[in-house]
Amino acid sequence: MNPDAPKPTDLQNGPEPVAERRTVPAWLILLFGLLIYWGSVFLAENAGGFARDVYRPYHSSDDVASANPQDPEAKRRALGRQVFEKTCIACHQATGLGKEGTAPPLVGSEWVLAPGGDRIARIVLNGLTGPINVKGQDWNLTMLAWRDTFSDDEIAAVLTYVRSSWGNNAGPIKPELVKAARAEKHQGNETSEELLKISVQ
Amino acid sequence: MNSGPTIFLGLFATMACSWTGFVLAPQLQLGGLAQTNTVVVGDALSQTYPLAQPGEASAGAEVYRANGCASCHTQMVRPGNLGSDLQRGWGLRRSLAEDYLFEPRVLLGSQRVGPDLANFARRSDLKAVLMRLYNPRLIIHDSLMPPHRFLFETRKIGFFPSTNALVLPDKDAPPDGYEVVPRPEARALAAYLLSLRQDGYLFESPPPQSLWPKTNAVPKKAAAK
Repeated sequence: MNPDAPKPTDLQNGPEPVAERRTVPAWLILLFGLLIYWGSVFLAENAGGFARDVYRPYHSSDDVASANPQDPEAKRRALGRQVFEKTCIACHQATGLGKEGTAPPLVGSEWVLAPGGDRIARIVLNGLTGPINVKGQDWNLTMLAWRDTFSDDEIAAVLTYVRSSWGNNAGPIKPELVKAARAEKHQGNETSEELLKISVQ
Repeated sequence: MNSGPTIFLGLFATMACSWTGFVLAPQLQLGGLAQTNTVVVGDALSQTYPLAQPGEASAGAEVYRANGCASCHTQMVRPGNLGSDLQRGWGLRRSLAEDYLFEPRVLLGSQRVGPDLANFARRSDLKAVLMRLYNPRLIIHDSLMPPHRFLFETRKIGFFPSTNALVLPDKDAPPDGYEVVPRPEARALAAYLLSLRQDGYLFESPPPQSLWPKTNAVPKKAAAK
């Protein structure tokens, strides 16, 4: 470089501009902070948690769910099915047809379909021992008592499921009925003679 | 002073922010969207929704694009708290992301010179839509829509008149011995327009309580007992 060449400051246009470093003013930081805060609050209130299924005018997934048709019976049916497929299915089979030497059928069984459901509720609660006639066939087996395993609600749900599956179409069983049967505090397993004393309407 | 790296980082951060907001976040939110089932209304059964466009309709979507229909027509029903779309009968419910699941290009449109078409199939039929394309004022007296006669062919009647020929009033009728038939484009466009319906209630936009099923408690046969 030629040492005689004019330095930039010598030029007529004045000194070359230089990028200064200055601290950001406090009010600007505060303003940005406030804006970020306001934005976050807005999103928290209006973004529906960024859930895929939340649109206006709803605010959360629970909100949307409660605006949808409520079908408690469908939930009970699902519960009944769950209980059946965890437990009953082992002996009574997925088809509800039972198995020779293991368990009598549930499909079309007069014990299952009897109106009211007082007898079948006691079978599930207290178990059943000894001879029993199902659809004209004699069985002599033992079913365990489920009194301590399942709640009234679960037993009512599984009975409702059994009574309305595989072509069975008897009415639902209410948990209150199971509760009343449980309150009898029956000792040991039921027998078919005992059950036949219970009247069905 | 060399500010190159600072400028690069600034630009990178700016691009990254908008990419996150416009691409990544929507992908995370809606990327897993899949065909679903409609919410049961009354005694109806739940149905798979949405269904893919039939072939002729997707060809029609290209005609729709090519003729700039989206410049004047939208395909998006706004929610009840924004505007009067629902009151105008443009849809049963607001539009949802699911509605566009099978559309390779979503033709939302941006201004409404004409009515919204999101549920056009719910309020028209093949004959009316072809008449409308040929001369909109045959159907709507003071329509602003330009006629699309180039989608039709006026031709000499052959041995038999075509069954597809438009039945036009005297003012628009072709000369004696001629008939107006839709070209393939018009038929595809009509098929597309008649595939536009967003009428399944979905979980995200459930039906009003008056349409809820009364009860699913007992199968009908049992209830009768």
